[in-house]
Amino acid sequence: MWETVLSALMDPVNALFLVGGVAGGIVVGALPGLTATMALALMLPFTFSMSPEPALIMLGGIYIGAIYGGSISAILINTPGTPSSIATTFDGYPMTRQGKPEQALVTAAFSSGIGGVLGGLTLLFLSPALADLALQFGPPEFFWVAIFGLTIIATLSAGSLLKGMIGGCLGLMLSTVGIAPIGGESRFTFGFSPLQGGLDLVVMLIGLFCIPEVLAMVDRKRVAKQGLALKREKGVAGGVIKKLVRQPLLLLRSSIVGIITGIIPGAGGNIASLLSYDLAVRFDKKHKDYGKGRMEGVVASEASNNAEVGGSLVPLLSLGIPGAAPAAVLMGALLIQGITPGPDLYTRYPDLVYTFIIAFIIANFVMFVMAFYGARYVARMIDLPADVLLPMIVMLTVIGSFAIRNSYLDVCMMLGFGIAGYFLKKVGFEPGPIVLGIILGPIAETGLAQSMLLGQAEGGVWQIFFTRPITLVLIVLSLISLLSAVYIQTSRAGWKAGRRDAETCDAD
Amino acid sequence: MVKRKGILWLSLFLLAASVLAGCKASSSTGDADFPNRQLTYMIPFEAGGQSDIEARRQHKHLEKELGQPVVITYKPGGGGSVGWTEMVNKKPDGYYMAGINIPHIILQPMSNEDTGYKTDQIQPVALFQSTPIGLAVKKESGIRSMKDFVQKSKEDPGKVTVAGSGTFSGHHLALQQLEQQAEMKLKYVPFTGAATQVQAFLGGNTDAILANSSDLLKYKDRLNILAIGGEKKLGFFPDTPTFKELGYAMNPTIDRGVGVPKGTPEAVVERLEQAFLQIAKDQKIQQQMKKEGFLPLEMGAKESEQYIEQRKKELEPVLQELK
Amino acid sequence: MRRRLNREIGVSLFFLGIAVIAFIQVEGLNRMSAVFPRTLAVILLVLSGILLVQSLVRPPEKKKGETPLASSRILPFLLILVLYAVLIAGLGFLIATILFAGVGTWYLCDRNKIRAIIGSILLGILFYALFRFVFLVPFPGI
Repeated sequence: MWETVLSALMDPVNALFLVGGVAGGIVVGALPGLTATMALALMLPFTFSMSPEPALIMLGGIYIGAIYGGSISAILINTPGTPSSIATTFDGYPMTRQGKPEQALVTAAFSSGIGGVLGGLTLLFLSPALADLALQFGPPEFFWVAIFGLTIIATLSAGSLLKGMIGGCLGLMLSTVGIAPIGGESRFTFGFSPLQGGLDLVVMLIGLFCIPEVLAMVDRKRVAKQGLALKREKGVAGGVIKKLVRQPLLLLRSSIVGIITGIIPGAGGNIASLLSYDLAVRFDKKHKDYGKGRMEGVVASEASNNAEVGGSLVPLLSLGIPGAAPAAVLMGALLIQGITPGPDLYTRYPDLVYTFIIAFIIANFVMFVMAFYGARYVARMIDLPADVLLPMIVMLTVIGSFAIRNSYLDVCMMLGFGIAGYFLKKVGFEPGPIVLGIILGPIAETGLAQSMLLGQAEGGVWQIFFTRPITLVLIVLSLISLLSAVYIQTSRAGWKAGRRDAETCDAD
Repeated sequence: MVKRKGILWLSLFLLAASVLAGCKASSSTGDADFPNRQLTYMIPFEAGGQSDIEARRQHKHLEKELGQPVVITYKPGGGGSVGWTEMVNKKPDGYYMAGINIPHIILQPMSNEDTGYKTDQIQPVALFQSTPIGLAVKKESGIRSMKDFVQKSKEDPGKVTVAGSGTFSGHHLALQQLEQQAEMKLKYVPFTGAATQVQAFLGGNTDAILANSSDLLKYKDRLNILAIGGEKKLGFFPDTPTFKELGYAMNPTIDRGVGVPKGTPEAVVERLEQAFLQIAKDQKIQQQMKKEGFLPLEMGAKESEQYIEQRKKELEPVLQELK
Repeated sequence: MRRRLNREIGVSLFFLGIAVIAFIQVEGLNRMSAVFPRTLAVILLVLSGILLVQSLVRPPEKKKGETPLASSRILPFLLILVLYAVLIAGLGFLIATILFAGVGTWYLCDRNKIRAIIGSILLGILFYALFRFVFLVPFPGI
């Protein structure tokens, strides 16, 4: 078997598809509005006439490239290129504003590579064993996953926790616009039928993250003539990697979070990166540096979202259940080739499966090399004068928000929420909690309503939420997260009252 | 000074814009030479879904049959309703067609008042694929036949849970029909798509599942499929009886096809119908579909219209009871 | 100080309003459609109520660098943004985009205007072409 795998990997055609897939994925991922799912779907028809190996290798490469690519626009223009890179904006963009975009890009590339490889190794060695984890999550578990996720609000709300909670609540409510996932009735459409489709996450991301930043740059231009300035240094990339190698624990923890999140169907890279970012903040003594351009924030987000790619393929290959939306498109590609993913995939098509997984791991190295050497050139983009850069960014946001669903309404929504987001930020409401609410809303709602229905069948509506083993673990985790957040918050308040210097605070 | 220069530039742009707008020549010709330019085939679902895969499968053939480029676009949202609303508001000239799903286009206007289209605003062109809906339990459940299942549910009315896809959907109505016909009470738990539905069912959260034949086929080794839609037994489930064979007057299926806005000239509809039917008859495509768990259909415009009318009559009272 | 206070009150009233509207809107929906948004409406009502009380009882401390809600530089740019969206519907994507790139750059720039404007327009067309012809996004208009 291994000879066939090896010869398939050595095949120059396959290698070409691998490199092409990764490169294409990076470009598509970097453009806001074109997600990994769309990149895969766009390439799907081309795989119809290909043999399974190159088809899968190419799609795997696209998937990996796109998830990394999303970090490029997150770092350079504060707009997650794919939803997986939301948390990358928190520290990646401040790094850019400090003139260190190249450092941020290399950090993202290296952590993505490590995360991706760890995800791939999981796929290679632990796949069937871990796949059952995917089946352990039913509606009550999903409800609690969402609640646990919402405790991240504490980390994401920069100023007041109360405002963070209001923002989160607003996000959750925005996620309910459209046809109810379980109840089936239209909500908050005000009789306007295009709203039945709800608000798209990507549209909201572009609006809430990018437009306020553009407006802030317009505003700031009064003070500084040039928006951003790239500090030109040599050997930046090498130095960054030296620093990162000293953080094995952070890389490992972030990757594990990503893998587990990936395995759970329905929780994608966006949740992985946010959870892992939250953990990084909480475990780091210098937690107050986050959001101000701390490299570790980028590491946490990017290692995790690329590890999620491997994780999302675990239930796909072993059970035929895609762990995330892009994985679902990969499943379509497999089916078209006449291959049904499922428990017997590893025994029936061992050559194909192992070729794919090993190519997947190699793709991560390819991605890293491209990103590492490309970072210097990509980073120069911010050297463009602000008066050219800003209209161009707006143009990109408009094109991107239209492209996601081919909807003009989405363009208006993006601009509308973008402008609203600018003013909300001014009065203390960060986009982070709002977006978190939009992401977790559907998970919380379907989990809640389905559990209630299941509970009705069992005779009591509420027991089901508290009686299953995983729900108990999740409840405990949520409580720990909540209490520690309150603790940190009060200690912060104490610090504020004491009016101590920010420097001394770092020591505690 | 700065201002004056700005105005100059602005007017220059406006001029350029108006020139460009003027160039946008209008193209209107009779139906005789239809199609004489690019066509749009809109999928009202996410890229990569089953409707998309079907369209992609037809794409090359369609361009050959029609002799014009065909662009596939997506307009997802609201379980298809956003896209269909868009479609019925397009000019009825045949250049904008959309994938249609039955019973979706029948049920959506009935279940929500703010749905932007009516079923009869869609002119079906052809139906090319049918997906029978089946009822299944896990092998280890000990339930081997529909009889066992009905008996179990009668012992515990309302306690047997069934996972399905969507509310006021084909699955939901199939369950309601089954409840009526077998005089039993089940608990329907809707999920948001095939993946989540299968995952929850295999994880033991529900006792049974109502799923599309293509999904059942993937997991057939772990399932006892009790009954399935369709007029006659399916090739890929030779041992599974149809609902009709078991004496239930129901034939739950999801059917895929293509439609255009109502008011499209008859000749144009015929031209499109001819192209789609030609593709539907392709043996290779039919083989692929069967392998994936679908039934190929070859229904033309008239036949599809009658079929939709018949399904509407059948489902309307069922939906009224659910609401 | 006074302005800050008013702003906080305004914000909490805004969210209170949203909560109330949401609560009224879910009235009449079936149980499974209503349960989640209704719960949220109540939570939002409570939270924004707390914010209102907080801003009335304990005015927030004044922060350094407090900026007005919208500067005089922002407002025209907002108008340009809105116009851009309107023009897309009227003139089509490409023309509106070219107009926006030109006007936006003109508004923002204070150096070499012609170069900046031409540069931004070229980049705009480049991106448009990329999406239109490579990713096959069907923009309205040309």
